Amino acid sequence: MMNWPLHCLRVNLTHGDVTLEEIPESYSRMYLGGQGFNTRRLWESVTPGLDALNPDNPLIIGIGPLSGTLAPSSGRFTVTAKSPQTDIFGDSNCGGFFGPEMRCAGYSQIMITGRSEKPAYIFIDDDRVEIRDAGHLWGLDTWETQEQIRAACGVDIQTLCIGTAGENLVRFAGILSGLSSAAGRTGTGAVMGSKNLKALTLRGSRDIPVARPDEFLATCREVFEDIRNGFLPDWCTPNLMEINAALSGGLLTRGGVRDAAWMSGGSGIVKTGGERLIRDFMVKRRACFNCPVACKPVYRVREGPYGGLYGEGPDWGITMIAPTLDVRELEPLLSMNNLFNRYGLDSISFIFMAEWAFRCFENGIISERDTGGLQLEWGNAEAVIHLIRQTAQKEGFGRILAEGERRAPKLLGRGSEVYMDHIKGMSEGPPRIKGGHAPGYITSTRGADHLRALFVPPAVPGDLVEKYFPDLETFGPGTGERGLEGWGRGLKYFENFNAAVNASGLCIFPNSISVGPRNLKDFPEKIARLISSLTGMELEGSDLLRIGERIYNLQKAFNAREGLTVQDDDYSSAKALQDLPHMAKQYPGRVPIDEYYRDREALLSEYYMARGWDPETGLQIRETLAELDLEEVADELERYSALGKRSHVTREGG
Amino acid sequence: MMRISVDVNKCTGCRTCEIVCSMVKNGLINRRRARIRVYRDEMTGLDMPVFCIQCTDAACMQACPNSALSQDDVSGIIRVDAEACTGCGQCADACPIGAIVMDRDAEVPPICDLCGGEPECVAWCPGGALHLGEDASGLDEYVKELQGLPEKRIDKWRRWAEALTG
Repeated sequence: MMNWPLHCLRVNLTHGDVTLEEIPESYSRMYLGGQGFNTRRLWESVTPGLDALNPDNPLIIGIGPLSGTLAPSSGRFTVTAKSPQTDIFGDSNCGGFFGPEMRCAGYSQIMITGRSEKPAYIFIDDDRVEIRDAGHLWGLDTWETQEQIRAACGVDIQTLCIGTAGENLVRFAGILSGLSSAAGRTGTGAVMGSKNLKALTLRGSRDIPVARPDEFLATCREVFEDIRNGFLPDWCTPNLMEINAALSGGLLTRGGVRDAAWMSGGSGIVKTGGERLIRDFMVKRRACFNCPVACKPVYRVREGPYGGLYGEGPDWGITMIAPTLDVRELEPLLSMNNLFNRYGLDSISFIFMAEWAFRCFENGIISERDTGGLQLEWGNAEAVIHLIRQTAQKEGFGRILAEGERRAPKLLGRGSEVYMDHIKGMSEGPPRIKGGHAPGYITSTRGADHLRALFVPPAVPGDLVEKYFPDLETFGPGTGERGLEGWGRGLKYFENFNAAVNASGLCIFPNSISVGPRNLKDFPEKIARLISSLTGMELEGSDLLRIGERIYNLQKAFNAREGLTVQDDDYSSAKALQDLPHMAKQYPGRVPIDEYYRDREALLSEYYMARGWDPETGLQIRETLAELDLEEVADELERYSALGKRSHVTREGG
Repeated sequence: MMRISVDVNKCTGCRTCEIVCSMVKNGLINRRRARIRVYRDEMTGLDMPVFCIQCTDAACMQACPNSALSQDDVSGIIRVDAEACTGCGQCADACPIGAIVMDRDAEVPPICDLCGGEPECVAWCPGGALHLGEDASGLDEYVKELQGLPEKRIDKWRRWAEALTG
């Protein structure tokens, strides 16, 4: 008996049906759980061309076999749906305590379809499942919603919910849990809103049995120590400002920043970075479930115009506001963080949507007439705050921003498209870290995103490599090489590994080999050992990487079936990228994106070949899919003319 | 006498202590069976571990109608005589800080025994919030925070959190 419950709870909100379905046992070996199970489920459930806001688009929540256990940082779960933002494969991984609670309730997956006639929330207490009226919750923000639900259901529950942005179907709305845990990306909150589903609340009390307790306990301790000895535990997520500055060689800023040297150099970072937050505003640090890193600072602003502000966990997105929109004070950034969390709005997409609006304003494409008097000028923090409110509430110019990267420029017209640089419908700006990190944004299966590949090691400066990545040269093919040479194989390796970590229920932040502890090359093996000793399902590190490869290929196939081609493996507007005068002047020859554009075709075909895909069209070929036991996926792709030609290169191992 | 103590400002609310307790004591994972509990208030940022502090003249011991509980003279650890215990739960009701929570699937109450002198929760605590030592100076304050009925406690913590963060 395997200690990994293969139960999927299905709730149809149109009919009010609740059913329990068994997930095929073979899927646990093929897809592991979490992101893997969800990817498979979405592939099977969605007909190509389906409108993501159609009730038939499923909202899928999945945990992994390690979720909610003693395995360090095992608080994660994945929310998956076809994305209303990008119209392709969408998912977002989230921390906090919901995943572990779901594990104790006994479900590995929850799938919600249909549309409730009236606002509803789902309450789950182990076997008991109820669809309840949420009329009194509709209109509340995510913090108020959770307070209300706790008052009604008890303090010992965990809740996922949407805020104003999700209710209003803002195409990059997220789903929140707690003060600041968010499944932020790809617009899963809008999918939830389209179902009239305000929240999902659960309590679980079941035991999680352990197949080999001694081995599991010892391996957990080993990984725990690995993470503690890495560099993360000293830092909070806002320190990414400093880390990015170091890894990018001082290159932090976007075109709108008036004084790039100030912002990227010492002064800007000192004023808006993580160290300042920790010193001046942090009350304490908070962690997700069983995590030794505790990356979330709880902050309190005591005085000044933002006095009384209280919140938690500014993350990656918030560290990008200063170097993108030229905001030079930390307090408004913390205020924005609270707004993103309370409205349930993806901070990353918002920032680059706002940058697009600012550029349109700067170039006379829009004026105060369009913005209702808002001066969209670089550094105007008040304007940014207004824009967040308007976007979540779909008022004023926010009506246009709310439509997301693909639709907003079309809606506005006037040649505004050139100022928007998304990939596959999602934006994150050009990566500021050199090396394989940059092309990783382009190959990501959910649009521009740093987390699919998180391919950082080649960009790490030499002295840090020695300290934190002593085995860099030896642990993976191609990963040790500096610059972009050999990056195709390295990128593939990291994408596969991260997909497997996401499927396992662990957090990739401490557990991914790209940012994690020393002795990185042993990590797939250690995680496999965690899974084996917990579940009794025997796995090796190589199995884990193969599972990751299968998951990644299935996501790629989903997108190919939707009609994506090699042209989509690119930024939407090269002009937007090249229109970075400050950067180019200040850092000649050091812009990572320049490297990328110089060698784009060669780089991509190297990656496709490493993956065993057609190097010209970027499409998957039958042989590669068959090797991954995905022959039926090849059949399906053939029906949609989305299968590549047999390439002369065979898939490389690893 | 050795006791566990907590620096609440260092508690990150991660619940590692609960998980490792159930793992070591029950050989499985279920934080609802742990001998240490973290009361975590998502919205105020308060995280408060609750554990047995080996009170003198322990109320749990006195409340037991079957004399199933006894206290070690030297360590202060409360021992449960599984033969005599009927699982009535009066010890849990009597505990002034709510450190005993009956396990619905176990026959006797789960009471902390300090893991024989080296508590696993202390060894694993990632934030360095839990300590084992003889210093009892923070004890009164800790007890004061936790006193009251469980349902009222949350209001106390909320006020406490506001004082902490305000």
